[in-house]
Amino acid sequence: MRKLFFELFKKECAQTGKSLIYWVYVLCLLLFFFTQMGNPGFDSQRKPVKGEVDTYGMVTSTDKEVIMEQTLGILGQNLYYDEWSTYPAGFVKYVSLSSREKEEIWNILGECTGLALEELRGKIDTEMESYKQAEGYLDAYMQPLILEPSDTLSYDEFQEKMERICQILGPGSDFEKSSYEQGYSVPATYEEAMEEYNSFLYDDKITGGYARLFGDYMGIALGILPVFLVVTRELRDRRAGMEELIYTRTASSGKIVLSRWLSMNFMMILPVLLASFYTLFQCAAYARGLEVSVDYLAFMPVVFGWLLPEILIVSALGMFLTDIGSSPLAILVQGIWWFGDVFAGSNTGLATGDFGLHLVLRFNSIGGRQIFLDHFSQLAANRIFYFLLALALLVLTVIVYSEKRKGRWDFRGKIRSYRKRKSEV
Amino acid sequence: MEMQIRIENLDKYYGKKHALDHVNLTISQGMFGLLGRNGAGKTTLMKILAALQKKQGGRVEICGVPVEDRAKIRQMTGYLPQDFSMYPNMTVYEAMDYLGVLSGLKKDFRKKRIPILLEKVNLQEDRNKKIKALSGGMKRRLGIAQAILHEPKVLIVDEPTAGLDPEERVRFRNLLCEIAQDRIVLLSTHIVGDIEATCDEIGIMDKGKILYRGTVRELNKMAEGKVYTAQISRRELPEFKEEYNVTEIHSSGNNAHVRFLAEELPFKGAISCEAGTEDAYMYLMEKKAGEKIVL
Repeated sequence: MRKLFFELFKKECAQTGKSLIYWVYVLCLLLFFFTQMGNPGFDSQRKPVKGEVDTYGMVTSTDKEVIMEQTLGILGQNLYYDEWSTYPAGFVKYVSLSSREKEEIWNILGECTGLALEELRGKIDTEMESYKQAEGYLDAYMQPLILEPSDTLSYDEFQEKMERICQILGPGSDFEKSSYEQGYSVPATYEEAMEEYNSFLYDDKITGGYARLFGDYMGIALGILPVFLVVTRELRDRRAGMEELIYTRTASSGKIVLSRWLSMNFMMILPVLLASFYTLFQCAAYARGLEVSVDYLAFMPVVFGWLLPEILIVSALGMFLTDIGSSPLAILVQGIWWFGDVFAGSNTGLATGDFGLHLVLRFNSIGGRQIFLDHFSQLAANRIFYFLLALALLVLTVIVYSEKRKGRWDFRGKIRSYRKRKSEV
Repeated sequence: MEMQIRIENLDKYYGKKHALDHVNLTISQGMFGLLGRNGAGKTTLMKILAALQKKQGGRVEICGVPVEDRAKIRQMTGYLPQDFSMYPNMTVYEAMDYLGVLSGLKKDFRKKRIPILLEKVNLQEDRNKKIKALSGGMKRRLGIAQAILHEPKVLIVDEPTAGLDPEERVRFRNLLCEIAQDRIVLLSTHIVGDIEATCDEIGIMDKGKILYRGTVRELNKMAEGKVYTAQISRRELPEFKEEYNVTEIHSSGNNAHVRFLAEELPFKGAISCEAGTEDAYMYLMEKKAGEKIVL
């Protein structure tokens, strides 16, 4: 029986390999890969030179003073734009505040900075306007505003005030302790830059940082591309007029659905693996020049632990929606999810480690190893959650497929007969 | 195990439509023809037998196995649907092999069985041809080959000759007769000629009911003395068709040679003739369903 399943798996792989849509998938994926990170740009990881301040880059600071001034700055920025968003379950939620609530937040900010309201408003307006003039509107939006806390404000008092802000906004805001205590990016000193550089060479062994960047880029493409292949495969039986020939076979619905799902995922991960080898060999070549030994297995956890669960969930959802409705609706659903998720992911920062329940995990940085490790449990929980969700959807797909083989759950047929009845009337 | 399909009080509804209305039928080894016009319920009945549809009432057993036991039924039955094709980019052999794996057949068995079947349906030379390059008749023959790939006891064939040219149709009928030697072959069609040429035992369906169950000869007997021919003027034809159930018309100049049904000699000049299966079918439909089929 196991042998027959393997034969079926091989035949499904061969079918996928012969389909045009698969090669379009491979082409799009590789195109995305080569345009985004084909040349990883090792120049950005130059050894810091004392005195050349511009090359030191940024580091994350968890200094209390930095936390207070940057968090208050974000609060001021939100008040200036009157835009409030939270991430209660990893997904963005836009919050609308009443004028009373906004007034209360202004008062809290005033108390924290020790400035009178008029003075505070004037300071924020002036700084934001100067950003806009210097950098343009979009950059001004991204530029962090810094508001110095009052001399008398203790860190404990600051935390209490932020708790009140959280009560007003609801869970998942930037003003939660767990969020602001992750720290903020600040210009690095020479020593900090050297520490980061050494971590890149000897902790990450070069490949670690590039593997994370690889996961970041490929994750974007893999959040949408697999659905096209899956939908096409699932609709092929009906389009080819082969549905009933397959339905009447002795193979169980579980075997049919599982062999298709596994084979498609296997075929879809192959080009990802191939692309990872490309970057791995580039890293290895770069490391030879520095006489540093690289971790040749660094890409494996990223490919199989980070990206594969993403392919699994996208393909399982695609199969389920296509089988239940016998239509390409899954493309629309996945498109909306992907777009919303990528957009929300960009909003939470590209290398902050705020993985939440995002489908597309962002960590667009070669450095930042410590931040990544600090948030690793979040990433693991996220991927396990999506893996289990994919399995649940697969089980549901098997049930739907099995019911369709018995002549039930044929929405398309029902819609057709309804239309026919209507036209007869 | 008895080689028999037993159907008792079978009911099936599509919404409010009673697609199968207390159908009772017993089918034994050999060719059995199911005749009826489009929408009579033939395909629904066949789909229930092939475990592709659920029944709502009654009992259906194939060789002693209830149709609810789908796994066993799928092992025992081969099905050729009315509208089917296969993945266009697969070759004939690949398609057979794929379906063979789905039928749980081992590689060694498939390697031996597929060439034999392709030989039988005269497609051995086309084994490497892509499905999209096959003609309608070739596809039908391949359809039969895939349906008997796992050596089923029962073969269910739905409207297999629709759209085939006369030569292919004859070849196809002969193939079915050959296959029926050691199994039950249930052939559904609305083409009387197919049944006449291949089946001894037949059932006639209309509006979800079995109107007739018996042999072709017995059916023909029902119409004996009821079939006439006559020469009439073409101008009289519309009025004539209103009055009689006309089964054939041959026009020549201003005259028309008609073959029609009547309970007794209708008028002077009408000539009684031997009843064919088509006449008998028309007679039965008129008699039992109370409807005249207008040509």
